Amino acid sequence: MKRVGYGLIIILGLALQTASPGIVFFGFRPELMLLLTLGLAMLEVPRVAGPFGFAAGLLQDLLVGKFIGLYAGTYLLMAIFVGFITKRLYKENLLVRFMALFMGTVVGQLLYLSGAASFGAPRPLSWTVWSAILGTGVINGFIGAFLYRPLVAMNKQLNYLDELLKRTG
Amino acid sequence: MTGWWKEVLDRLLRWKIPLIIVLVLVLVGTIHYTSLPRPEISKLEGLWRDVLSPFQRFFSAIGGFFQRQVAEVNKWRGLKERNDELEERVLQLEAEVLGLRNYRRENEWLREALDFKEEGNHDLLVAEVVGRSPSNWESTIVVDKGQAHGVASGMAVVTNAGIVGTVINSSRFTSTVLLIIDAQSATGGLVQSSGDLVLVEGGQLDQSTLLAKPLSRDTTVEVGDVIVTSGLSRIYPKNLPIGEVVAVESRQYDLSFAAVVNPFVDFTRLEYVLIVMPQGEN
Repeated sequence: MKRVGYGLIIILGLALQTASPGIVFFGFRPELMLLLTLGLAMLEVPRVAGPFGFAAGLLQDLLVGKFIGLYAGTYLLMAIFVGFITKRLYKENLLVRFMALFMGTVVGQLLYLSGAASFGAPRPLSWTVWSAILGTGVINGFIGAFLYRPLVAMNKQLNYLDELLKRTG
Repeated sequence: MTGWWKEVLDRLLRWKIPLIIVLVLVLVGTIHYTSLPRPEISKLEGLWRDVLSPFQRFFSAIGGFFQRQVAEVNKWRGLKERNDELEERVLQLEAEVLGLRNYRRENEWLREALDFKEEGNHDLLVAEVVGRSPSNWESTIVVDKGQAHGVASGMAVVTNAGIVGTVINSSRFTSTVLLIIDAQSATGGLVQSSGDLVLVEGGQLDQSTLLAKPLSRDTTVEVGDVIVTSGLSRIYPKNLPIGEVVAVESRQYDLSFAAVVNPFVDFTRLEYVLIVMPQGEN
């Protein structure tokens, strides 16, 4: 049940992210899949958040059609990394959530760009690229900080349904 | 089912290190393979895109609805002002139309005189924009026409305002179009007033303007110049409008320059596009 729920979240998230004209805040588009991965990494253990990030990244890779596996690997690493870091943080604080998601988004995008560069698509870290990275980080941080509580409630409900299904067969 | 899955997962986790090594090798392999240009996308990619396109269409319809409502409100706000402007513009245009009719007659006469044949060796296929790139690092759109409609990679995509981009890959029912504002895009252009050749590139910070770089030292570009396609690339037909020069910037100790071009196509409001097909394909 939980896996079906997560699958639906990925499909709807990707469709929303790729819809035209799409979500744009102050000229920057949020990285919804990375945001969902980081959000789940703050809630769940890496054993759950890692495969979620990997699946979300892989499906995004299939849409992009280039460097298939790079988003998957990046999101998998970010899920494990952020899960490990935020285990020690008080996530109920809005500022802590914002900073965790901001940093996670920035590092995630840098990781993707480094990966792309090592496979033959270097992009110099110019002001254009930095502003895109930081702008997306801020937007992801803001959305994620406020989306965290609904995500907690939804995850709780999915866990409950999963448990119920296990017990009742 | 759940118990079985847990058992498999537990066994796999016991083999953690070999599993991680295999996963890394597989990922590196697929990344490397797909980093090279591919004329065709895999069946899995095509299937996934076709599965996702109804969801994209749904969210696009909602997004389009809200965008239209906002545009409507903005339109009403400036209606009076716009009306005055338009009345003035109508008068100007009427005068212009009279002038153009004279040119048209003259043109027709000259064509007949020179036995000029129109090129016209292409058809246009209307396609609806159903999606955009999921990543911030590519400026692409997804349209609802694919291989089933005869669309193939390398085809030019335009609107009545100007050029949009090129088809980079197609699934059965959708195609991905690389926009000219993308960092990977470079289009051969021509300064309409002087006939000088320029290279029009995307990848600007605002993701809405282009950069025209001269191909020769003697090239002259001024603010207000119109850039059109040169027709040398074989992708775009000749003389399609690209944009208007809004600024000319000096580069590297004033030895060269680049012109900032405002494209005629508004890439944030693309709803329908025209795919240029070879004659007989559509």
